[in-house]
Amino acid sequence: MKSFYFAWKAIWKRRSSTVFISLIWATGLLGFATIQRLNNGVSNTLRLQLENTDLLLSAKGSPTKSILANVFHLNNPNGNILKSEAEKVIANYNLKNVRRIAYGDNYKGFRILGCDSATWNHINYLEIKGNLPKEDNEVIIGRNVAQKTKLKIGDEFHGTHGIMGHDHNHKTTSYKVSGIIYSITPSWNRLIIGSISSVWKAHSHSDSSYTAVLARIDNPLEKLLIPKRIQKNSSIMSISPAFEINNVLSWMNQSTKVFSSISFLFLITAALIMFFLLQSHIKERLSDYALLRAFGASWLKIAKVVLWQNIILGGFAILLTYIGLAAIWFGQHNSIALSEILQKEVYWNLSNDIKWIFGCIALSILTSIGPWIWLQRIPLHRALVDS
Amino acid sequence: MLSSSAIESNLNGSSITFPSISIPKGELLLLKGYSGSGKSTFLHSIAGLVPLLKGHIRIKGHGEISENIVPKNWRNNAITIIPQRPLFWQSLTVIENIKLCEWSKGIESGHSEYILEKLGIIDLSKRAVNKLSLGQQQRLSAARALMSKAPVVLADEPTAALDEQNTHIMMDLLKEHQSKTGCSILVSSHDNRLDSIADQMVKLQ
Repeated sequence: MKSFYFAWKAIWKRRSSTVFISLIWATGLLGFATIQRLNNGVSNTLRLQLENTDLLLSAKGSPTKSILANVFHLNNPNGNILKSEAEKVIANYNLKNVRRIAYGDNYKGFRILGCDSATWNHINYLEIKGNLPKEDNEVIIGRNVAQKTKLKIGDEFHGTHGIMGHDHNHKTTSYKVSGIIYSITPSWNRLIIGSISSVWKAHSHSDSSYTAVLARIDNPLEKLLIPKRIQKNSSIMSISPAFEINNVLSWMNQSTKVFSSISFLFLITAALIMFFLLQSHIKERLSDYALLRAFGASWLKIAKVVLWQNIILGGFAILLTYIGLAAIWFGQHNSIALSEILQKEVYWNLSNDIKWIFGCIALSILTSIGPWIWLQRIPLHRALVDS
Repeated sequence: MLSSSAIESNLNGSSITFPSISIPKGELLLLKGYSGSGKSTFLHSIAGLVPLLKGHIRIKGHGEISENIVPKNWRNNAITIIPQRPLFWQSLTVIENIKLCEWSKGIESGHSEYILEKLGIIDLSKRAVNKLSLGQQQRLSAARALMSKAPVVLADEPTAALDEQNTHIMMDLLKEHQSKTGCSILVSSHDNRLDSIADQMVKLQ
């Protein structure tokens, strides 16, 4: 470990160049690690959101808008569908895990979603405080809603008409918080969820409609065929969310590839800069190495010192990368979209980092070889006399 | 003991010839000559740092250097060198520089504190080397080399830039080391003050 100690002392003596080299290195790594996290986060979020949802029935309009509204609960829905027609479709096809939803009002910008009992079972609860709604006016709220609105179990509030903020309150319809949930599927955490009948009660004229119906199809062939058949035989829009999302994903994959390539180029540039900086660093310290040789140190011992110096630099770069990742993690909480994609379990799943950490260490080793070989060619006599 | 035939050294493509020498055990040979006469090159040839074109250098019990062949562990066990200028790792303290030398040679002398005390720089052992005066650095450079019990000590201008008092300390140190270990010492210098401790003298032209 003495070689490590001497390398560490040499690095520490040149703190400014150490920080400079590590920062260049870390910038490339940070770009790479962030893109990797975004990619994994998007895949994970989509997987969770689309789980058990092979079919989406909604009012005709934009399929993407409908998916965003009814699966991700982000956009406004295309409209409502007739309950009678939707039930007819449900009865005629081999659908499993059918979930009926109806959008109601909002509270401070958070949507109130009415749903049937199947939907309750669909929510992947990580934690539930209180109870699921037993009465029509009772709702459970997602953890993000509770944090932002400061609503607690037992609190009552009035919904505002519309999906996104209007000032007109339904003075006649009040809701009571029966529980607070934290779901692994991010969208549930920013919803207020009650029974479908509570939504119908708030809008007495709309008790014959759903906003959407979601279902699972077990047979792979039927997954492709059923949405098309329904679309053909009814006035309801029938789509396969997985199929539609796949189109979005293929576009996203292209952008991810571009960003990954840019980060990779950054990494290569950082490695080249590191190589030249290390070479000049060794040139500056030529007499130090010549002195070791004059004392009888083997090339292997000198290699160890050079290698440790590079590994320490690589280690600093990894440390700085994690500091950068932590800064991004704490900074992204202001963005709902980002915080849903960058879930804690995915973001801090360090097993995904093993590849680039090993890559970084391998590069540290590789960039030590050149200067070490170069060192063996210098005339030691001159290095000792001229220093 | 050290013996060298008339050797021809290859210094960056040009050859330099040196006379034969022989230093019996416990003796000190003073290599004199003007600046540029090749004193450092001769010492570095003996240290195996400059390749030989002709001749051989032998140290009893440690083999010999001939054309492009330097025995393994030559600089670890056979010789120890005091460089012309006091070279150190500036990032290390006094004691760490001594440990670095020991690590390079693969030895554990165990008497570094004794020598530092003898040289009057024990209080500076935890100080950064660049905080030492030139005289202190020169003494430290010698102390570091003399940690080794190698049979041959090569001292390249060890008293250059030293005042009278420090020159005497350096001379005492070399003689004490010689009487303790029985080593052969080759000193290159144009300092006449060293004539008194020399057993032999060779002048390079």
